Amino acid sequence: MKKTIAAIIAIIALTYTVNAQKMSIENVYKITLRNSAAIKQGTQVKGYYFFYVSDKVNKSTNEYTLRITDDNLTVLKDVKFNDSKHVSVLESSFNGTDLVFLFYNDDERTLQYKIYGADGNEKFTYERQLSKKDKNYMETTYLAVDDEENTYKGLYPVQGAGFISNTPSREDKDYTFEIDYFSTGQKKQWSYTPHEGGKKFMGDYLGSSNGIVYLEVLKYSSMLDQKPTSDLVGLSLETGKQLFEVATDSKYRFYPSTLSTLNDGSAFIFGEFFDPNANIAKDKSKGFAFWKVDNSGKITFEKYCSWDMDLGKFLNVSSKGKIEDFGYMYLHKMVQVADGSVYAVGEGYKKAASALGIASKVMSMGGGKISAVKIKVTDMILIKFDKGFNVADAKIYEKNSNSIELPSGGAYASTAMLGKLIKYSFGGFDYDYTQENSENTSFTVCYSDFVRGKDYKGSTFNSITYNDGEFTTDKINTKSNASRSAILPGKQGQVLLLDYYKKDKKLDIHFEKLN
Amino acid sequence: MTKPRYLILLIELLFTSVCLSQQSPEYLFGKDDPGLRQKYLTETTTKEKLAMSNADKQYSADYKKIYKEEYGAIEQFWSDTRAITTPEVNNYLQAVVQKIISSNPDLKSTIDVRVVFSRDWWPNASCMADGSIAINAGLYIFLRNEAELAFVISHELAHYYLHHHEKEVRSYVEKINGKEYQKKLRQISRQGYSVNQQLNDLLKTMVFDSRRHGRGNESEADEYALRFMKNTGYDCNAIKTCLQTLDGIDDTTYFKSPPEIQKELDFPNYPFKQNWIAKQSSIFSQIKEDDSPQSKQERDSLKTHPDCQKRILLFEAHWKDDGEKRTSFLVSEEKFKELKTQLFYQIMEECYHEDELSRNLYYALTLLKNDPVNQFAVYSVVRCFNRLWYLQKNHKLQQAIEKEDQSFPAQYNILVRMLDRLRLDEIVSLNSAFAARHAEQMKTFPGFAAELDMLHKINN
Repeated sequence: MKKTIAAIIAIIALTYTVNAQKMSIENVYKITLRNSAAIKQGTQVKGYYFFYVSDKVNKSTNEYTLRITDDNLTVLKDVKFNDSKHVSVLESSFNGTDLVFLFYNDDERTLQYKIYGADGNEKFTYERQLSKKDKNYMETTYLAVDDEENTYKGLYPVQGAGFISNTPSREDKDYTFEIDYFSTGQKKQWSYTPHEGGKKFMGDYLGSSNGIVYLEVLKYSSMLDQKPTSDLVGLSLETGKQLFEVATDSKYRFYPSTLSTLNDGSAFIFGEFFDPNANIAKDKSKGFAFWKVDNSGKITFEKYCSWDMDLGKFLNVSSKGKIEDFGYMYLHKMVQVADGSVYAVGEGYKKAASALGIASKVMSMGGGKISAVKIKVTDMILIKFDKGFNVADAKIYEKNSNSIELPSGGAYASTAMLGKLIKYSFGGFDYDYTQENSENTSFTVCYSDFVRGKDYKGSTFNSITYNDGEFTTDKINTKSNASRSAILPGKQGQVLLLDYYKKDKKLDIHFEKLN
Repeated sequence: MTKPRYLILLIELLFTSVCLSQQSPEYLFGKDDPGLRQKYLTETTTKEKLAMSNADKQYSADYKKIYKEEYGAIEQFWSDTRAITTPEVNNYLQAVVQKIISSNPDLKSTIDVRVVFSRDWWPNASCMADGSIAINAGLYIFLRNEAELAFVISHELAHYYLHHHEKEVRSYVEKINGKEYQKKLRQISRQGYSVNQQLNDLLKTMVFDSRRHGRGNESEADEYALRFMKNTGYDCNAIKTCLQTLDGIDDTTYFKSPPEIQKELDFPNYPFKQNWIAKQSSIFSQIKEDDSPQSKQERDSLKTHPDCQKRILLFEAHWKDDGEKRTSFLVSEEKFKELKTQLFYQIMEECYHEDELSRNLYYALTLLKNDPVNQFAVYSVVRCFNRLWYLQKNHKLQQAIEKEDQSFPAQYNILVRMLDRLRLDEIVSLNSAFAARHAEQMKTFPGFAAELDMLHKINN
């Protein structure tokens, strides 16, 4: 999506026609948009930034303008500066008072975190020098992977205190990650890099609560290890010192994805769990797990909801988690709301016979490059857990299914592996993003679909909104007369629609509410 | 203008509005005169043809491009609903215009002007390329007497009489085609670096020259307006009071006596929800005004009426009281006051018909706050909420409501914030509670039953 808007604005910048007879300011003036995205505080959109080259100063230096707007697109500030032509903005984040931008210079291999205060002035700059190995590793991981909103993901706000950054890192021969904390109150930072007990480390920042930074860390004994150990690591927000490290794969293999403090202020972590000896790359989860963790890392509560025993009351589901007509669920997001209920947002997928693949095999006498099995991405699903984390409801939201043809041999991949392939390799899920409001009384799940109706045939942008216990659904037809269109996240319950009309050189940008 | 003066104006305005509160919308908005509108449109079209055929041959393409755009906008003005040609409104305006023209032989050459009130809410008046002059209702409601209206008309007539618009167009076309300008642009375009910086500098110089020229025109028009006013017999002190009003008009507007949104939309069976208007964390919440992208000087330049203080000083330098008795009203004081109410309703209605719904609702709530039994205000609120529901349901709402802006009054920002957050079911509940509160008094009001029917249909 980011690429789309970048393309749209670049077109506008370049469509001034050149008139050889007479010159005008418009046909000489050129700007190029480099990056643009929503500025978020968690899942909430608080504004937008547009980073563009506003002039060329000399062979190696550009003048840049970083335009910062509020959530209504009102311009708040234009930051102008000269810097190397190799600079781009990777991410931004807002922590309720301060704003951070992560700049990357791929030539000098530097990451620069610029913090701006509530008064709009630059407060601090933090820099990190990358090694060549760091850079190469980042380019194949962090810089290559788009998340569900097609933006880089590794910069998180800590309410009113600072920002956490999570980037891939190399330590000697090990592949690891680096957690950096940048304070916004005073210039202070710390870093944490795990490098003991494995050869490869992958970490997810779960959140911060009561002065503790919670991380989920996977440790691989070798680069080919398929059964990594999983630990919950707690760091001191003040110093970065490790406070605890708890294995999450004792009774079951638990892979937490979400941290919430809405129940009683304590840290609750949620996610899927697997058999103790499961291979997470191949095996399907057994269901959902919920843990309560105290400040010393002690697990004071645990609850497991299995597909067949618990979800079976609401859906026709097998012990392996296959839901009738729906297929397997790929978990996109877990959200806790103000009344303590937790909602798991997922999307279905299943294997199906591929007519194209079969024909290909027949034509090539059993050969062919296309698998006889394809993947069908099916419907959306919301599973509700009550305050005690018991399954309370489950509802499937129907949409048109998509088919993804697999390369030959794809049929032998496990369903769990296929889910990851759809997500990360094919980008085949329709899910776009989920947004919560600040009071946790409402959230909106957004996804795309395609409609073939009598009145309308084309793409749609869909939403499922929870508001004070009630659910509503809505749909916006996105096909228009515009030459190009894009949808960006807006405030919770709204979207930003962009339509570019090439003939008129006109960009129509407006918000719309999702009902 | 000071706050107490505005309050007096508002009380005066609303006192007269009570007299109209029992009347139907049809009566309030007497019909426009389609014949007059067509006549004006024809005159504009004729003038366009003349302008096109007389366009300077050397740069005719540039002139024609400008004329096409300008005349297109004027023709659109005569074709849509903005111009007020209702006889009872227009006759008064024409009487004032004729007083001025007949008292000033110089103005005989401008006899082909078309002066009308427009239903536009923003406080301005303008003289268009062909001599069509629009006095916005949004400006009229702030004027205190007929002499101030006469000043506004005289000022616009002076622009036309002095050919200011023609001169500006010519100056612009000659500038962009001029040797020096073209040479500079070629020079810049051949350079590889700091091109945009040099273009910005060139543009700034051009804008500065244009504004300086424009301000010179304003002062000259004021000088001539003084002469026209004097000859007509209007009290020339109205020039000063009118300029004082214009100077502060951007941040005052009609919203000086704003409705309290929380109170007006709070009902026992459907209490106002604070989360509709609660402030949320925002980027650069403590940014100083001077740090914003527009400098103070630029903001002043962008005011609807810049340099009013300088214009007042110039007026004072030119105006010497000759002891002759002049008056604030020559045509009708009664009609002038009646039209202030009438035009406020017209603004409200135009906002509704143009889907400027946040303004429509705000004006209606303002009216209601000051006159709780105003039937038209009640009707407008219910009708506006129904329309808001329809647009939101069909994903077209956001073009009908404005976004929060620092330059808006606090209560208007609260209203637009609320409209930005209301959910479909909340619009219906709010409207139902509002309609129920006023149902008894609205039984006989034309149009209300239809809005109520629509609300019931939505609810079911």
